[in-house]
This record gives sequence, structure tokens and C-alpha cells, in this order.
Amino acid sequence: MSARALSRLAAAFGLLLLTGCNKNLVVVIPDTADGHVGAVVVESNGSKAVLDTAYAAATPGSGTLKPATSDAKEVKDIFGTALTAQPVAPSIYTLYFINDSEELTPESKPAFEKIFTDIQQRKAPEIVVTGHTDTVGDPAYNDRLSMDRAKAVSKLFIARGFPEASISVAGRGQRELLVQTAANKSEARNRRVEITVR
Amino acid sequence: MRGIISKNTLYGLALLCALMPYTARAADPIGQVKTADGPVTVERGGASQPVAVGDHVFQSDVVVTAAGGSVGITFIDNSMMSLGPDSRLVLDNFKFDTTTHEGEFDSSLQKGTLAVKSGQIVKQTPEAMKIKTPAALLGVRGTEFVVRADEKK
Repeated sequence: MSARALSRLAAAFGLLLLTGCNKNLVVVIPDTADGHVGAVVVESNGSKAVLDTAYAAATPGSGTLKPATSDAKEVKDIFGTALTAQPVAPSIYTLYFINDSEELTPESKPAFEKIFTDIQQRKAPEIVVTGHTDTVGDPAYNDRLSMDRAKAVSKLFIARGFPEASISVAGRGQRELLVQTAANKSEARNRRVEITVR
Repeated sequence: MRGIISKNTLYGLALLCALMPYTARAADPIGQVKTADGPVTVERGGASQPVAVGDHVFQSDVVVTAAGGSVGITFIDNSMMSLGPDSRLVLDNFKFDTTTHEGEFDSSLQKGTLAVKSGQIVKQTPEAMKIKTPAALLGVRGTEFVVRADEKK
């Protein structure tokens, strides 16, 4: 056997050692929107690994999990098609209304129009209208209030011709304060409606 | 007792309904197909049907791509999953409360490649999203990762 053939065989064997016949792979990647790196807990063969850095990887199925690292190129080579098929990420717009009326504040009018531009750029667009309250009143009351507001705002989109079947409403009450306040505190910035376009 | 269903049972049912007003029911869509390319099908109730952009997906659906196929789905908690070619994903269990954001999302990648971006379920409850593969169980703390599953384990 020639030296060249030997070296080829060695390279092939090296690759085999690295990957085995195992195609299983998990890689944490930076968030495509903001670069944030999250975490995934992998359990396999009674062992457990927490992947919480960019391109931290695991190859489950080959005995005890060992720490591994992938990179952007490998991820693109293996997962390129899956990543290209990712939907456009949902966008969230915050709207405020004058004195609890259904009239948008002057600052919110451009945001409202921007939503329609966004909708046109998506395939099969959906809208979720989510109401939020401040901490005045009890939490159960605020759940209903935020839902009522969301329903009222959803009518603005129906009136502009957006199909009702693609609109859903939710009321988060006082669970997701934009500005943290004490209980029973009137705060205009918390009385808002968020529009998710996805 | 006069009827088969007692008054207490009715009160109990009414209370139960009042307690979970916005929780998705089994027949409600859990997500919508946003991208589809090449051969993509969904298996539902024993039948296999082609998938197009705009179609809804439901709990228990099996999403399948053949060679050259890919598909991207956005779920009602804003999480996203997309499959590469020769892949098979079972949407085992999905629960989401739009008021509290509490929920569960269990799926199984039986083979192929999957890109995941977690949503409101995981933001509210880390690891409430789980993905099974023949070789591993993944608990998702958020937000973005990719996984390839070998059919054989």
C-alpha cells in the first residue's frame, strides 16, 4: 500500500473516530435575532450535559455525554436547509390609547401603520392582540379588563380588512408590567396593548 | 338523587370551565406552517396529506419531509421549529395558556434535522419544552439550537 493511500486511510479512520457511525448531534446556536445564547439540557444513557455557550455541542448515543464544540460552518453544513426554512420571527408592536378610549395616542399612530407594512411582507400572517393593565384593581379584574381591551383593539384590524380568522386575542392582566410599580399604582405605560405579527 | 348528573357535578364543571378560560382545546390549532419547500406531508388520524404554507398543525400531528423537503412552523406561543430533508417530527403534546403563559410542549424528532427557537412557554417555565430523539431527551431553557437525530439511535 502506498504512503498516500495509507494517509488517506488514516484520515478516514480519524474522521470515523470523531463521529463514529453516530449522526446524533445537538448544538446551541446564538439567537438569529439578538445573538443571545441560551441553554439546552441533554440527557442520554443516564448522563446529563448542560449546553449553555455558543456552539456547545453533544453527540448523544455514544456512551456517556462528553463536552464538545461545533462551529458556524459545521452547523451551516448540516442544518443549513432546516435553518433556511425557519419562519420570519414574530414582531411585537406596543400601542397606547388616549384615556382608555379606542383612540390611539399620536405616538402610536405610526406604529399602527407599520404593522400593516409588516403584515404585507409575511406569508400566512397572523395577529395576536394582547392586553396589559397597570396594578390598579385586583388581578382577576385586570385579567378581564385586559381581555376586553384586546378584543376592542382586534376590531380595528378587522375594520381595516384583516381576516378575523387570523386574529387572536389574549389578556395578560398585570402579569407583565413594562414599568415595575407597587400594587394599586396608576401607570399609563403599563396600560397598553401589544400586537404580535407572526 | 333525581338526575344522573347532580347539581354539584354541574357546579364543578362550571367552576372548571371558569378556571381555564383561554387554554387551548385539543381540536384547536397549535401552530401554522409559514414555509414549505419540496415534499412535505402531515400524518393526522392515520391519513397522510401534503402540507402548504398557511396550513394549521394540531397536537398529535406527525410532520414529515422527504429528500429535498423542508418546512417551518410558528406555534401559538411564538416558538418556531423548522425541519430539513428526510425528517420526521411528532407533535406529541402541546398546552398553552395565553393569559398565564404556562404550558407544555413535548415533541419527538424521530429522524433528520431540526432547528428550534423557543417561545413563551419556555420563557415562563424553563424546560417545559422537551424534545425526544431516539438517543436523547432535550430540556429547552431557550432560545435557539439545532438537533440531528439518527433513526437507529
